[in-house]
Amino acid sequence: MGTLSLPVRLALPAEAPAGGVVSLRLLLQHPMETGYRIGEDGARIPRHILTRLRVSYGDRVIADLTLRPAIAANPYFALSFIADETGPVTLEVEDDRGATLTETRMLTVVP
Amino acid sequence: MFPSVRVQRLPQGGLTLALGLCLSLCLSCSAGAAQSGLAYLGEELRALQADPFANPGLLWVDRGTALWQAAPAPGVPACASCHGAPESLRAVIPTLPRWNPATERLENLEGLIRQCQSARQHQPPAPYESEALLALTTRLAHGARGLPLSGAVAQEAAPALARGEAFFRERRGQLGLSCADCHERYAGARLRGDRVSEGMINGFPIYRLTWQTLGSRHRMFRWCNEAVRAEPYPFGAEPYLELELFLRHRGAGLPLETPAVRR
Repeated sequence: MGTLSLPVRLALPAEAPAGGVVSLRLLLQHPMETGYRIGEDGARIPRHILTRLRVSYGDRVIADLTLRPAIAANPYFALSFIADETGPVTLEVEDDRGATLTETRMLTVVP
Repeated sequence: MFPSVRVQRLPQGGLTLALGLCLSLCLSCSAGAAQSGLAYLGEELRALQADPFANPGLLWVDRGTALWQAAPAPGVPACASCHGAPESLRAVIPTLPRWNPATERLENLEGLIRQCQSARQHQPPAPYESEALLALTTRLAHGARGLPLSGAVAQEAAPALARGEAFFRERRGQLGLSCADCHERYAGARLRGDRVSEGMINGFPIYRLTWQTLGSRHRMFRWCNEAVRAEPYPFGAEPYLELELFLRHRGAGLPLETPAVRR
């Protein structure tokens, strides 16, 4: 299945009709600290953000996002695509401190 | 949900919209039954709280489920080893904080978990607002979702309840505001772009957008105290336990909503 070092909630149906629209929903627990805030001790709070989110379906990359500091903590992502083949849907997430998440789910196309 | 604007005709014939609004707001908060903070949210946040996937507090519910099952160290029982499913404690949650006759003190959910961690699991108790304690409290309270807050207070806790109410009504801080000033007298009125809620505690721990994370009841008390520029008490302090007891009593009947989403 993959390494899970980031708490995540992932919703993806296991089956979809051929040509049907599939929606993928993703909720990640992450501080998304911008690096611009000053802490109580007067020092800058170091940046700690997610930097990349990639979703592939079969051998195609269907979403590849570069993430920036202006995203709220615990971000939520949703995307939809058309189910045209049975294959793995792979999610890859990384942050700027080396935490990664790789998760694969099978999507079966039913006639 | 909110009282509609009432346009009143004064004897001299002038229409005073503002006065009518003020009056109807005040009447509604003193006369009506207790209302959850949920009622003071906009459409979108209410939908987010109700979403069984996207409510961000559910991340902590998931983590709490995992922590509940896992032994904190080898040879030490997991929470589940003694208690079974988290739902087995659901009847207790709406009665917290409660009077413990053995220690003759009030105990809340955080305190009970910490006590179990040190006495039964022989671990250093997780501090307030640590991810572990938030996850466990959220998981347990989530298991009791829908149950009404209990209004029952043990005879021995009557003085604590009275002190809790006194705390609620006492003006404090440089701004000289009591809890009751905002959350009773002006509940429903606008404070900048926000609507002041009744300060009910049936949704805790809450996912608060201002914090971008989850927080306990005592974090909210501390936040509110700081907002009126008063020195906050430490987490788990006696005055906060008494306030928590009073607020449970005051909100009796409100269904638990954990994890609630608030602004």
